[in-house]
Amino acid sequence: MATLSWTLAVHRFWPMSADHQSDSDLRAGVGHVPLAVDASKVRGAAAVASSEDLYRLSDPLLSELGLEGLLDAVLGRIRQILAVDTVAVLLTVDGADELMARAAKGLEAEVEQRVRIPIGKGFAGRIASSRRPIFVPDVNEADIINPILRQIGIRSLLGVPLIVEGNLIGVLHVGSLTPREFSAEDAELLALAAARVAPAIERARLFDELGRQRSVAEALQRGLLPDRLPLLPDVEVAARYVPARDEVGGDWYDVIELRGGRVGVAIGDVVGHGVRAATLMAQLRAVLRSCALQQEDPARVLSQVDHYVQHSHPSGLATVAYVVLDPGTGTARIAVAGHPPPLLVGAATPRLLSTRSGPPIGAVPFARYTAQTLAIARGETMLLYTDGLVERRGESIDTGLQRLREAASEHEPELLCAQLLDALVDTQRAADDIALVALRMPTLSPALDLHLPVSRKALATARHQLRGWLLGHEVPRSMVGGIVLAAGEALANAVEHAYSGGGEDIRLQAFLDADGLAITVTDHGAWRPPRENTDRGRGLAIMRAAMDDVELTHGDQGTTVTLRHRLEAAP
Amino acid sequence: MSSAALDIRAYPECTVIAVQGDVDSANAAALSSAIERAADAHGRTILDLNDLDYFDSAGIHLVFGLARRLAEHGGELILAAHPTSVAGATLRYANASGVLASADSVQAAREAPR
Repeated sequence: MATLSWTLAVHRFWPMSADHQSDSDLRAGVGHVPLAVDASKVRGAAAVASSEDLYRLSDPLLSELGLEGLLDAVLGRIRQILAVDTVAVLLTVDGADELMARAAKGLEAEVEQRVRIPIGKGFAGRIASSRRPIFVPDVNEADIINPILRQIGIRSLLGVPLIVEGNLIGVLHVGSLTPREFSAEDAELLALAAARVAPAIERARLFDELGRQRSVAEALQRGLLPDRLPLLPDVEVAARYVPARDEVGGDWYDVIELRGGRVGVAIGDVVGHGVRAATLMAQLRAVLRSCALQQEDPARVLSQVDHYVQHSHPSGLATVAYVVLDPGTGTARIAVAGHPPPLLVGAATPRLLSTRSGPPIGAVPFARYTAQTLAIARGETMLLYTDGLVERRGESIDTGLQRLREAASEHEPELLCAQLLDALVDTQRAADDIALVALRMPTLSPALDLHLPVSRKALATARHQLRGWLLGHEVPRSMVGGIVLAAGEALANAVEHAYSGGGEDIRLQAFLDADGLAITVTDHGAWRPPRENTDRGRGLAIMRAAMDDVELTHGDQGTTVTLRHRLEAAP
Repeated sequence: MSSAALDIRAYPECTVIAVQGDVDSANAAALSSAIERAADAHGRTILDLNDLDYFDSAGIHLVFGLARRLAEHGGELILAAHPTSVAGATLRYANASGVLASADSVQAAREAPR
């Protein structure tokens, strides 16, 4: 307790004779009211506080109440001990030269209205700037800027600074609704109270701040990563995110459904930790997704993300890799911004893709990125990951990458993710967060056999799977469009039939035989002959025009459409 | 889910609406409403079908319905569908090319006389 400095302050504040020089600051417009106090004029039951009263102010249990609870309890006690009508605590506002009322008794409006007092102005402001107590015998005559103090009808005020380890953290003041000459003892008591509670207040405030930060961080983390990976017709995807032990990190992954059955997969790592990195990560994820939906060149997507960072977050930095996978053509286009190379796990030993990487996002103005195209075989799995998976303290990155290559043997994406986390990561102690995504085009079956629910929404998925199957079996590209169209019509008809019939699945089959390609669509609904020039009438006409042969078989159990197409390329 | 996107541009003498992605029975009704809201009620609307991945009889039903409803209020619909495009091929298979006013490209559609 800084008794000595307090004593000096009180001595300066309470000049013992009327003609003693005092700071004009502290006069606070008091004018000719004598600053010296005659002890005989003191009123108030708490002229001398008991040591027990003071002790109660620094009850350790108070600090377990959290800041709001602590302030409430402390103010109540002070009001009692000093027999005043109002008590208030103002605390400094982070980053601003202001005090804000945080708790009050008898002055609740000050807190409710979130009154802010600039440091240096008014009663509390001058206490804060001078770091000395101030007594205002008569509010009406003084330069009080806070309207609430006047409104309530306070006549006299006494206030002291709250100081912790030499730092000003706020102001504590008490008021009386009738004119009162606060005594030297009152001031001493208030200053003692301030000295006792200031550290507890600061501790509670820091704890609250930390708690709020942490819960913000946790909410961000929970909210930011995709809840569910999209169900893609022709690509298997699995992903994992492992948070760092102590803090939120800036890693993310994203899987984006593009048109034509293509899929974009992104992985990124924002430099830094905590809420700041997590919020930048959220924005990069959203910006990348938005760019990816508008155009498919991965290099241009990265350029646009880089442009965004340069423009809106000049100090932001991140590494990113972005891949567009096309199951129809069996190719992947990849662009990399300073990120570790993707891993391919296939028939041969796992290999890291040697990608031409551009600079990290945000690192270099006008950064340039290039996209590389490579063929991906069905059954081969591509893994994107962040450096948390491969980096260990005191080790070169190459050692980590080698370890990754050696640990990867599973092909099935979920199994591969599990295998790598198991082998490479001690999840209890991960210092850096980790994200990984694995994707694979499943191997083609010789015959396609799909079951679709009776729903229009399922039509596109079935078409994409059929297209992938056709291209995988090297049906000439020029024929694929017409075949998918005919099958699409048959499927749409089946969905329409089935609304009026059973709810059983629709079955789509495709196989190749000596005569070429055959596709069957079977439903279990009720068939009615189509009228000409209606949708379904047109649907039949389209099937007949696009295929070499169309056969409909109707039964009690439902309808089967068989479509055939020869496969020799047209001369 | 069939994904489609609309790109709408209004010019002094016409509105150009481009459809991208897949048009099928899952989204045709919603697309139709959206296109009709954006169309030029009494003037010229150009429906650009050159950037579609899939377009079947549900799409044909959409464009015919749209053309009829616009004509009721004096509006004009022109399709931009190149013969080699997905929509162009479907119209051909359905024996519907040439039934509605159409052109190979948006540019050609804009220049077509009324």
